[in-house]
Amino acid sequence: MPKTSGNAKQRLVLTARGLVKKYGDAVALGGLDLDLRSGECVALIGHNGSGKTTAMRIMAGLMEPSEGSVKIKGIDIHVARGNPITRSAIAFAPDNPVLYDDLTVEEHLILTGLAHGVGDGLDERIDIVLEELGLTDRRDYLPSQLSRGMRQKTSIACTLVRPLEVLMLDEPVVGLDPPSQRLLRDEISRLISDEVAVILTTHQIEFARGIAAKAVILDNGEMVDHGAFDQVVEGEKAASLGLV
Amino acid sequence: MSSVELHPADAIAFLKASRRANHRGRSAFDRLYTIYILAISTVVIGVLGYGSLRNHPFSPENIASVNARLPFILAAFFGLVFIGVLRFATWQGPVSFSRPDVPFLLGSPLSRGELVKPKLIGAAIFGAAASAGLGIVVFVFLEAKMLADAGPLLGATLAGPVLFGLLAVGLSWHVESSIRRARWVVRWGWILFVLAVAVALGVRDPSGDLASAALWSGPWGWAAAPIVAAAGGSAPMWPVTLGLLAVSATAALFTALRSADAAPMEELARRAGLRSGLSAALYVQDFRGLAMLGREARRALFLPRKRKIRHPRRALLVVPWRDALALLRAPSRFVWAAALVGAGALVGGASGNHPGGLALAIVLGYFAAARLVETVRQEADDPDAAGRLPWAFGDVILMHTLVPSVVLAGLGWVVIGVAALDGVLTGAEAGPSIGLVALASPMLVICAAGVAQRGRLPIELLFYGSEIVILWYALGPLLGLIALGAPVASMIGNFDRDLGMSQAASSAAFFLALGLVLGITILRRRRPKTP
Repeated sequence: MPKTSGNAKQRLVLTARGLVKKYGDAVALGGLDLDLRSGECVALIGHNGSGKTTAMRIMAGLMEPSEGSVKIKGIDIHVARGNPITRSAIAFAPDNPVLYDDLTVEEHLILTGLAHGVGDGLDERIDIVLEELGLTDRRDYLPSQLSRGMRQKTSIACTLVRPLEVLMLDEPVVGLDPPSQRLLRDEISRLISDEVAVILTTHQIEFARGIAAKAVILDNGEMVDHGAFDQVVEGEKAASLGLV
Repeated sequence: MSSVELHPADAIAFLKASRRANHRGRSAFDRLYTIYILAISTVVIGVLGYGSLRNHPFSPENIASVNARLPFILAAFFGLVFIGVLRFATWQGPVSFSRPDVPFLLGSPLSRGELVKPKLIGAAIFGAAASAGLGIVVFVFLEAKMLADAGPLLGATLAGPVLFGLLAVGLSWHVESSIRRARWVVRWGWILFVLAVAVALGVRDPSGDLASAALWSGPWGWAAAPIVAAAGGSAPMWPVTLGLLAVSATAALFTALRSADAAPMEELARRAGLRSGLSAALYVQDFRGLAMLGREARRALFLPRKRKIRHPRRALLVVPWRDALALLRAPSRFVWAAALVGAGALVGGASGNHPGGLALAIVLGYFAAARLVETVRQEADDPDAAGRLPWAFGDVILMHTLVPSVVLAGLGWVVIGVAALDGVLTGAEAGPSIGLVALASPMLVICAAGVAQRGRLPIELLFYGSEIVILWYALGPLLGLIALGAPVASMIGNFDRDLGMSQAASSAAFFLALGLVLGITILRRRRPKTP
């Protein structure tokens, strides 16, 4: 069981402090603090519009925060925009997979590997990832030939084929059937064992149970509860918000 | 797995090769054939056009007149292109990425500057080439009609526009790479637009001092000066303006390339999303979709102001309340409508009752009405929305015409007031005019609403050829012309028979009232489009 919680051996890889995102008067995220250590998985839980995806996109460097900072290995990703060290560290799979319509599954993985400087061993790595996610027989398919779930798996495969330190998965199980969800859970567990830090957003508490050591509950952009996963999901807030 | 040094070129080369291999579109031969056809057509049309122009050169008097006006025409043209390019950069710009480029390339550790630079250089080459093409068109016209010395003229028509194109590309990257600058362009760009229009108005009464001011007013004038000089006009300082342009273009491009990695990821991702929508909308000639993308882009820069109006208590007022809210939250529609009404009044007044001028004035009035019926288009976008109201679809559309009619009539009355104060209209003429505007405004709004409720261009029309598509889009102005044509014609006929304003106005009012009854009847019978 890869579920771990902070200990002395785990390195702090991501620090988010006071993350706020405002659109005029509307507050999408009202102040998120998060420490993420290597080999640790944190689940961001909340209803639609609670700010999970906004938080994730800010931490992935895809969105600028109105206030606050995100540091990877001590480097503020929004100050040192496009820093190769931070971008090498983060792998992000969005909830809505965006793929090139004229690249096959395998070519997406090759492109990702090349862009991340994977040299020797890329072909073998691709074979392994495709096998682990059940995509081997779809390796020559174009996105238009894939179902929503298969496109989602391709997007996730792209995050796994390259070296990474922080894996961010936004609603990773949307569109995945139960066997694929199990494959993904196994893959995340393996990554956690390999000291990769994982942040995932989900509505499905059961998916996160067993792999996430910590949980953060967001409601209307506010962080209303956080702590050890079991403690949070069995706590009052989760119950009052109807999350469990 | 071992890591190697990162080379963006390798990833991009792989991406291009894979995409080419999987692309099932046109072959290289097809592409070359298209280029060949375009090139041969351009040469043939160019030679024929040049010959035709050359056979009928301007007289010496005309040449002098054109030379006097050329600084204004060229400076205004370059000015409009300048603001157009900068405005484009507020939502697209010279560097664009596809949606998948965002996670796969921009999200990777590849140097963002190295990803941006080739696109920026490509945009500069394209900008220079397009400007050169434009310069050649200007050269052909001036050489053939004004018999100017070909060598210096060709040099001037290439150098000015090409440097101007490079400057525009460089500056537009600076706009694209900074949300603050993009906001600045959107907020203050209208000043440049007004300046360009003011320069264009100089054509009416060209004088040496004004021409000199136009040529020194900015890069648009600097680019025009060498052409003016080479065509035989007065621009003695053109080497200085050309030098200024060269220095500005070099500085803009140099600093753009140096700041190639400056654009925020969020901004590039937003533009990538807009680009995919833009391509789709252009492919199906969906101008409504294009307008909505433009609005979405503006909203990313400026959040819409949530001005409120207290909601009414009577159900029948709910649709006008919704329309008033829409206008209040998009005041640019009102500004556009006012500008179009003003332009229509100017054109109509200057037409001297010429049918062409009056027709143009009516069309401008129609466009003003069309700017005000956005909520009807929204009903067409979502026909189910009207279904949630307790009235028939046609009645809802009719209700949507109330506020635009009042607003348009109000604008018309302002024009009448200005004309009366200016002495263009006498007191005896102003009274009937107020009544006619009260009838003509709802007539134009009903035409615009009838056209707007059709929704977007049906894709199947694209298969029937461009004439049908043009007709589909032209239906609105045509309807406006038909609806107001008869009243206007009857008025002019009565004036020609030396009848007074009140008699002329009463016959026009009769036609307008008849048209209104017909328009309301037709509008009330409209049904929502079924998917």
